[in-house]
Amino acid sequence: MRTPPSPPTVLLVEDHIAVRTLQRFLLQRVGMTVVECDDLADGERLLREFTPDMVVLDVNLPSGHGLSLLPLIDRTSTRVLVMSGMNQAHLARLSLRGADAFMPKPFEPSAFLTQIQELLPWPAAQ
Amino acid sequence: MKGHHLLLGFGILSLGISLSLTVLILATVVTLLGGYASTEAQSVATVLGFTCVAGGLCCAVLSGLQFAQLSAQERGERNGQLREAQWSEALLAWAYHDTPLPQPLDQAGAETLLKLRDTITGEHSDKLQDLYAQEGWLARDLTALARPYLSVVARAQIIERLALLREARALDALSHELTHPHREIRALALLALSRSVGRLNLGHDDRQTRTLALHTAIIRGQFSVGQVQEALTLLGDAGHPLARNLLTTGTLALRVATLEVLSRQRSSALHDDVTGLLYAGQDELRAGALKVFVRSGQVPAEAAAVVLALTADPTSFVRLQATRAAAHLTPCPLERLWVLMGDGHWWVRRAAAQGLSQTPAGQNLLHRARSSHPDRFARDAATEALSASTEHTGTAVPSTVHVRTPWVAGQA
Repeated sequence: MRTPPSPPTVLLVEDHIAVRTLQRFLLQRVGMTVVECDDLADGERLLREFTPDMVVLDVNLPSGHGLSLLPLIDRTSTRVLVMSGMNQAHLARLSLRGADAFMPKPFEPSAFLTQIQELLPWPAAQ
Repeated sequence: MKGHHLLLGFGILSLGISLSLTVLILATVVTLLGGYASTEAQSVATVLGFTCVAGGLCCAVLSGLQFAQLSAQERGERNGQLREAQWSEALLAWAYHDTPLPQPLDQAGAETLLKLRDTITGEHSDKLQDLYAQEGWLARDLTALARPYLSVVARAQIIERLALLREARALDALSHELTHPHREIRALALLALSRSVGRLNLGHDDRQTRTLALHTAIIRGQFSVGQVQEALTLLGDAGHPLARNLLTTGTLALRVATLEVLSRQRSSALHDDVTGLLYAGQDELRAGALKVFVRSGQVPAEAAAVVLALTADPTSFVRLQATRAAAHLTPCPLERLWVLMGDGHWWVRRAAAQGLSQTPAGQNLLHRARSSHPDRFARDAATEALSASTEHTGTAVPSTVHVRTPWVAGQA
C-alpha cells in the first residue's frame, strides 16, 4: 500500500496578526502544515529546531530586518518567499539575492497561493 | 509573550528595589542614630525614622501601582491580539465559506476587517469592504465626519479608517476635509484620498476630477513638500495628471519635488512634460528633469541634443545628471563621455566612466583611457570603472588592451 506524501511545512515569519492569520488560512486550505512566529528571535529558534520546506518571510519585523534570517536557512531544502509592504525595486533585488521570490503587499490571495505552489509543488494544492 | 515577560520582570525588579531601599534606609537610620543618648538626638532620630519609613512605603506603593498598571496594560494588549486573531479567522471564514459572523462587527472586528482589507486585493478584499458598509460602520464614520465639532483625534481616527477602507463612497467626505482648519487633518485627508484614488478602479473622468481637486488644495499651499511627494507616490500612475499640473503651475519647490517622485517611479509616461524643463532657468529643475530620464533608463529622441548640450552646463550637479543621461542615448556619445572623464568635478568624471562601462565599445575606450587619457584624473576614473565592472561581471580585466579609436588618437 502506497503511503501518501506528508504535507509540506511552511514557516511564517510575520508580525501582523491579521496578515499571519490570512497566510495560515490560505495555506491550510490547500493542506499545508503551517508553523508561525512573529519576530526574528522566534524565527531563528524555529529554524534551528526544524527544517521547513518553505519560509514566508516578512521584511519589516519589530525586532529587526527579516532578511537577516536568510543566512540561517538551508537553501538546499528550503524555499524562501520574501514579502514586504515596501514595493521597491531595490528591496526586491536585495531579497532575491538570498530568496526564491519576492511578493509585495498588498497581495492577491490567489497570486500568493500560486507563488507558493510554484515554489513548492504540492499534490493537494488546487 | 516576550514583552509580557519583560514587563513582569520589570515590575518585580522595581518592587524588589523599593523594598530593599526601605530596609536599607531604616537600617542606616537605626545604626547612625542609635548611639545618641540625648533627648534632642532621640527627637531627630524619631523624625528621621518616620520620614524614611514614609518614603520607603511611598516607593513600595508606587512600585506596586506601576506593577499593576503594566500588568493590566500587557493583559489588555494580549486580549487585543487574541480578539484580532479571532476576528481574522471569523472574517476569513465569512469571506471564503460564507460562514455567518459569530456576532455583529464590534470595534475590534471593524479594525481587524480594515487590516485585512489593507492587506489583500481582489474579490475577497471587496467583500470585506462591503461588509464594513453593511454592518453600519461606514455610515457611522461618515455621519461623525460631517459633525462640525468632532474632536481632532476622533476625526483623525475616522480618516485613517477610511484610508484603509479605500471606499469610493467616502471620497467626497475626504475631499471636504482638505479644507479643514487643522493642518494635520488636511494632511491626513490628502494622504487618505491619494491612497484611495491610487488603488480604486475609478472611471477616467472621476479620477481626473479627484486628482484635480487635490491639485487645487496643493496649490493653495496647505501642504508641505514632503506631504505632496507622499501623495504623488501613493497615487502612483493615477497621479500623473496631478504631476503634470504641478510641473507647470507649482512653485519651484513643488516642481522639484514632483520631478523627484517621477524619477523614483522610473516611469517614462511624462517624458514629454519633463523635456520642456531641460530649458528651465533654475538649475534644480534642469537637474531634476535629467534625473527623470536617468532613472527611467530612457532619453526621448527629441531631447538628445539638449541633453548633450547640458553636459557642458556650468553647474556641476546638472552636468552630472546630463552625463548620466547621455549614457542612455543611442548611439552612446563615446567621444563626449571621453572628454567628460576629464571634467573638473569628481562625480562627473565617475559618471562618464561608468557610462562608458555599459557598452563593449565604451569598455574598450576605458581600457585605452586608463593608460593614455591626457587627464590623470580621467585615467583614475577609468581604472575605477573597470575595476567595478570586473567585480560586477566577475571577469578579469586584461592589463593591456590595444584599441584603435581614431577620433581620440590626437588627444592621446
